[in-house]
Amino acid sequence: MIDNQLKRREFIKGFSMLAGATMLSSNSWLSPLLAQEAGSPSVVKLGLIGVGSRGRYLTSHLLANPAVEIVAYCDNYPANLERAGEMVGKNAKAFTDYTELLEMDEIQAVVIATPLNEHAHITIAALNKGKHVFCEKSMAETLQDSLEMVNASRDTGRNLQIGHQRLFSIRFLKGIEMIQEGKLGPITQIRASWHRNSDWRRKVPSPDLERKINWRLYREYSRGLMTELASHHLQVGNWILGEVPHEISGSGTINYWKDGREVFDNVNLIYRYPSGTHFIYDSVSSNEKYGCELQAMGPLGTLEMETAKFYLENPPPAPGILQLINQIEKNIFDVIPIGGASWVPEDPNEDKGTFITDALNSDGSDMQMEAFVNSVRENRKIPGNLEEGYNATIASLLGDQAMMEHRVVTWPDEFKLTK
Amino acid sequence: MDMKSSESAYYSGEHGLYHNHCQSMGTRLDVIMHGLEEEKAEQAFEIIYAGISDLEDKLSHFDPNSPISMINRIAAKKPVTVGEEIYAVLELCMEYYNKTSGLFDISMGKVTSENKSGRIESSIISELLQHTGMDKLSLDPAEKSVKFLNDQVEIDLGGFGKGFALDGIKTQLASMEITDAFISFGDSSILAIGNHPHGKGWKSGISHLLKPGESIFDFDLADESLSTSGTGPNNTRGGQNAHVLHPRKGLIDPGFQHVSAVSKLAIEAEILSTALLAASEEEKISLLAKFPDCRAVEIKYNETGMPQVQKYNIE
Repeated sequence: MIDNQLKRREFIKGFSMLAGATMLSSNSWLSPLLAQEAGSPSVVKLGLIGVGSRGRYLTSHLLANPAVEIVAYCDNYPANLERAGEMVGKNAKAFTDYTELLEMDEIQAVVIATPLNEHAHITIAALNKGKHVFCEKSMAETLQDSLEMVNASRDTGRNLQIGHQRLFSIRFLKGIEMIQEGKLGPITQIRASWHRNSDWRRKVPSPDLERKINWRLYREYSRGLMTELASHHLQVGNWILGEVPHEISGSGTINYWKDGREVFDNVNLIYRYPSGTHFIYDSVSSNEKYGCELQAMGPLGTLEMETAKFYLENPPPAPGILQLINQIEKNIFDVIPIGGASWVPEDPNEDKGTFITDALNSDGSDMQMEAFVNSVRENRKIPGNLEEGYNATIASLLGDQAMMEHRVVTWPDEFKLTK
Repeated sequence: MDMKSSESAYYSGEHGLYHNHCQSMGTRLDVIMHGLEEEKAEQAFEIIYAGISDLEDKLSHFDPNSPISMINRIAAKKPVTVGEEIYAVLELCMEYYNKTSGLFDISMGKVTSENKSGRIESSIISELLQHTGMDKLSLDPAEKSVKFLNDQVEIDLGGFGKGFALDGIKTQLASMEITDAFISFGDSSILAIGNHPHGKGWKSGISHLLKPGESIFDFDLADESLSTSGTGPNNTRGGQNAHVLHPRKGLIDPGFQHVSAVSKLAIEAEILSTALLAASEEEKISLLAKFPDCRAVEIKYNETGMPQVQKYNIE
């Protein structure tokens, strides 16, 4: 309980160290976090749909919030239901059919963390029942389903928040601020990669559960690396550039994990934005040396946003040189401390970068759940968030399409979001 | 005008003060000039920038396409004919190798890089150094060619390039009739020409490595260069003081110290500061005797971090 209060205060403190007003106007989804605390907040009643590992992770953040009551949870896999029951306690009702959960009038909002193929119809049903919805990324398996989810939120006036936690992460917010301030110059390329060295499989108790448990590996349920991982970095790419890509090309293969999976085990894509900037995406499942990183590059510097590190193309002048310039301008003639063996001449490119923030512990998941709860309490939408989620989903699906059809695809006009 | 340099330039009309910088030779070059029209200062910077870029292309042993890299690949197998400029550099290095009794030695590139990367045991370094030294490098003035006598020889101009570049810049500035300038390669190699706008010469202090911003010893530089080499906190590996490679003795630990040398020639300041760091007490005295016009200080820190200053050729 106290932990969450503390975390929130830390976030607000970190956030206020950024240029508050500017940040808020361009990152409006943060507004629920900045709501004034007046007395104790009223309790928000939530239902959980899909309580596998991701669902339970989100639940752990919800349980840390004293103003949340989880009144029901649902999963059609008994082991998940059992483990979630241990977390949320006996007072919450368990369901195996989400439609029954949605019938509970007292539920104000639901958190959906099912496999991708279940997102659209459950989200739309929940919105139509008057519930606010938090749905994990990506939104859906098709462009049409994703658009219908947006329309359902707009038609019902209910909040639909998509799980892109980087939107709430101090290190990404700080990085975006530095980019907007021009610290890197204009962004001329973004490179992102998400590399792992694993088969991405979960243990299957019996063979008939293979597709249900390992749904990420089958096209009936998922678009694999694109919808489960790439969409996060695509969201950040769109955020940095303030636009969506218009041309997408790529290639994907299964070159290592030939284990019956239907989704690519390695993908390489180029997203071309109207401004002429390329976002280059690269993800492999058989080598993790370069891990998960997003590099924003401009003529003045490079920002590695996952690790919150900034590298200048030209290091700043030594303090002695600055002192000399200052002295000349103030008509002073004095010693400047300068002759130091301050660097290693034989080691070029040893720049280890500088951390842009010390808020490195949180990935933003805690604050995104807090923002959702607050928006439910205030019974309003979170501005800007759904658009970020939608554009990231469309970009990941178009990337998959480009690879499947071996062609350059363009973002169709009918799937461009109007304000 | 190069876009990169125009973006980073600073000009203040009051003193005709111009400052600009660029990356070169693995560090940052800062150029301060005064009493100039902005356009002339920018032109001068462009000329300096073009000159050191060209020099770096030729002298770098990191760039696989540089003439030095080419020599390093081939010269152990057969003589390599080099251009006039590279030949002159090698001859100059040979001259200083002899003058410093081998303390300045550009032939240890391979041992240096293998030592740094940890590929070799420190115990075999002194054995490998039996095969290096500029006496294992043969120069043919008629053919303008160079040959290594064995494959342990590899040229590394790291302790030479910045000094050589600063002497080149000094000549360039003179030909442009620029009389006052202060130029710094990453704080450790400095060229001071003419005067500060508000005084005579340029006052340059040697930084206290444990108390940044504090000066331990002040040099008044008058058309001179200052070079500093050291085993300071930034030059350590894994918290241990970096050992210094003595051309014959191998790895030695001189303790936490730095040496600064001043000379009319930047290349001599560079060579002296490098050589003094590795030299024994006797070697230091005989070395300074051969460079009577140069002066130097050696700064060692005791256990409590107090600097102890030893002066050479300074009253």
